[in-house]
Amino acid sequence: MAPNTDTATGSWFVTPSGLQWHHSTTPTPTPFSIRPLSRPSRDELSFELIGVDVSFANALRRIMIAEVPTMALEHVYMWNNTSLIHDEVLCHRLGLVPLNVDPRLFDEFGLEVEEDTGELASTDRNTIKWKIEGLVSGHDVEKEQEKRREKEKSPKKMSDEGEEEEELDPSVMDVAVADDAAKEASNLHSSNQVKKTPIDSASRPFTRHVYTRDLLWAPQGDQLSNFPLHSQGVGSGVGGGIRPISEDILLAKLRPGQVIELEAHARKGVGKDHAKFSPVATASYRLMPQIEILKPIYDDLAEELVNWFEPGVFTLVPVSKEEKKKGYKTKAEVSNPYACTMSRNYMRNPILKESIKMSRIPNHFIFNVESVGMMEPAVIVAEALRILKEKCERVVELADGALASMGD
Amino acid sequence: MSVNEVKIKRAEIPFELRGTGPPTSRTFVLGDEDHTLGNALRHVLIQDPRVNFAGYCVPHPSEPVVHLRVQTNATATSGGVSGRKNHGRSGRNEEDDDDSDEEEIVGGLTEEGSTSFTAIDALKDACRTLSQQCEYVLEQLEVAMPEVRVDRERLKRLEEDMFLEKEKPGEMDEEELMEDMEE
Repeated sequence: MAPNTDTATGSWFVTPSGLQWHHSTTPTPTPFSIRPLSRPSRDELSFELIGVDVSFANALRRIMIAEVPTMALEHVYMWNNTSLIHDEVLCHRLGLVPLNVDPRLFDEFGLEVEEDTGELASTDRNTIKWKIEGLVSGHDVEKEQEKRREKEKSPKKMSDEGEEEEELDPSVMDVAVADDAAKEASNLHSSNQVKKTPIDSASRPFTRHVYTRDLLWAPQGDQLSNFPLHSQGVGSGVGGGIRPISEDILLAKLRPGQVIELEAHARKGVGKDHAKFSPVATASYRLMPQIEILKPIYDDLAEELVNWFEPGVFTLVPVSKEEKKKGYKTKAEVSNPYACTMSRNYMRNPILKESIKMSRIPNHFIFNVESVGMMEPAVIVAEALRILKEKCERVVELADGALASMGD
Repeated sequence: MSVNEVKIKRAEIPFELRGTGPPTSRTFVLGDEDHTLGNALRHVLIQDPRVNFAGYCVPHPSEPVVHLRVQTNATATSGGVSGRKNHGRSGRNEEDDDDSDEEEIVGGLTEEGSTSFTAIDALKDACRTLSQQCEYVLEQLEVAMPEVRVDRERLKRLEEDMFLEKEKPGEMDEEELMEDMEE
């Protein structure tokens, strides 16, 4: 591939060693600028980047999606899962839960090794521990147990302790309780007085929905002092501490007698490894559209043109004096090309098809970054730039190392 | 812990130089890289007037390897003053449309000013240029979106706090004890 010869920046000279390219004085290249365009919400950012090459913009986009690290649940220790959701499916869902913690405060996993076992060490600096435990499916079941106890035993023994024990140890619940619960449920449903609740509703008796708010953070070591429970701000969660970004993501549904008890470890990773680690819902860029009006468009045609495009792209402006003499009233002019999505709808009209020319402006990119929530989108862009810089520096180091070893 | 442990597969060779003959033509094999860096470096290399040929490829998408081929102008020099060099410098400054006045040709690359501009010099130059470009864009980003600077300062403070807290327990030599006493 020869040097960039397509923008008339120089000429070929014939020399004894072959053709040489001489760069001549070039016209002023597009000056660099970066400018935010809109922030529809805290997690979305739209900005424009002018004056860089497409390879740089693409590198930024690729790094934002695949190489900016985040924390996500990686290893799950399943102590008990009698729900309908299979172990691996539940673990997969847990991994996809986005965690509201700034990943730059944690170390990469795999750097430290435990001294005694030689395995990779899980420390409070690289792992976050989470638990799901103590779930009881359906509070009506507890009432059921109470009723049963009251019937069998004397009222004296119905103490608070007994209730708590039953609560804390749902895995020891025997089949009889589940049977009773089912009988009650069927009685309830068969009676004409009670309205049937649909299967999917959260209020269906004896169904316990497991949400992300049941995923409890178990602070280890220094974590409680570093992520205090009642702090504010980005990366510290609502109510403080380390929490998932949304607390109402449905993980599983439990029926009477079903239990989920698990412990999960969150680690730092990159989107290249697994999409759960990607900090952006998506990051994309498009090139700035350029709309050229070849033949002026007036009146009705102008109105039609305004409607073919997205609102705001074209506006109707009053005509100049010369044009007024010819009988025209309004003219269409490009006012906001940023809104255009290049839909080419205007080509349905054969006259407009000839009068408008659409193209893209090179080296003018409109980025759209949607963050998942653990970092602000502008911060993700900054991190991507830092990572690209690190990659370059790594190559320089490697090259120096190779030179040194070769003794050049 | 051991059965289902998934190890991230790294490339076998992080960096390799391939090519016999004059040092102005080399193929660089970069491990653990892909189009992200390959294409960006290729573009920067092409902008350099001392580079005759620059191209990259990903030999197979299953392997994280990038081959980057660089061939430089045999008569260009990496240091010293030559007509071509100055010409190249001015041409280059005008061409780099992204970082305005931060661009500096690393004249003092090698101690011997009269050696030719080798392929590996071109690669290092390109990496440094790209790195400077990233810095420049970062600066402009902070100007355009101040939350980035706020975040950077907050992170620095947080890291300092966490680092200092970590130092307190465990082994402490006299220096650290003095630090803690000063706080």
